[in-house]
Amino acid sequence: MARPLSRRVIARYVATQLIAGEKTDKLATQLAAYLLLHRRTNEMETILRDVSHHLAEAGYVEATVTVAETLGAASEAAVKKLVKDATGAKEVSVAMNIDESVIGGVKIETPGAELDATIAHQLQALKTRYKKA
Amino acid sequence: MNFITQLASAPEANGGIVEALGIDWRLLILQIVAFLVLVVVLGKFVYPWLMKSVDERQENIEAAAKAASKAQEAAAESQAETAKLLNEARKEASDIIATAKLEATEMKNSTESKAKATAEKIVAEAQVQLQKDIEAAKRELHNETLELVSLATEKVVKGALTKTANEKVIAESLSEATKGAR
Repeated sequence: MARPLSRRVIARYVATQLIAGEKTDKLATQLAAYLLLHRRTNEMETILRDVSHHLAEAGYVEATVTVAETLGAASEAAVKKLVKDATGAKEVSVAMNIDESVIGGVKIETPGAELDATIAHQLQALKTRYKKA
Repeated sequence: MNFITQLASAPEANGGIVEALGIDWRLLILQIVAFLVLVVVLGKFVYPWLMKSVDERQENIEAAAKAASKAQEAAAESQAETAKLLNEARKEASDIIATAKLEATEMKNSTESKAKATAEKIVAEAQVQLQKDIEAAKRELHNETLELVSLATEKVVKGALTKTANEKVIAESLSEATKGAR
């Protein structure tokens, strides 16, 4: 049996394949099979985060956007533009996450950066600011 | 009368009054010598012993009297000494009692002072603790009020925030973020 690959090598390989246009399903299957075989499934989260970083370095940024209800087309475009401007990415993809607990506003997460402009976050900030220890 | 007459007429009859009296000169001398011998013997042997015995007895009596006198004096001295000692003891006892009273008073005062200080300390600590409790209660009330205000705001905003308003909020946030990024 070959020597197990390091986490960085695996992440770099997946990112390279994605940029090359390889199908996501196929890559996900390969990655899952490899991690199961080597009993390293607990590294999945870390590897995916590393993949995101590699993609971002290559100009492909995936932004996770959390909102209380689905974003309109204009807002989504504005989000993409903001992320593009902020990261200098060539291409931005958006993963939408609907979470009613944020009440309103938007939260944008990119590899290495986060913008939380949700109403829940602002309320929490207010509470923290005026709370007495 | 008859005897006197006979005696007066005797010398004339028998040659002297001694004879008339029937005194025998030889017997008389013998008796005198015997008497002198007796005196000498008594003076030599009996009288000194008797006098010595009397003297000793007198000395004994005097010694006894002296001893009694001394004993009396000693008793008097002893009584005086005892009285002196008793007085000293009384004085000492009096001093001890006075000192004890003074010490007791001082102790009482000291105890009272200590008790007072302790009570004041307890009261001060209680006041501090009370103040702390009040502050904590105020803080807790403030935080609870803040929590309630936050909860109420959340409810109100959830009810009042329409999709259009939310989009507007998001647009404003993105606009601010864009400005910040520049």
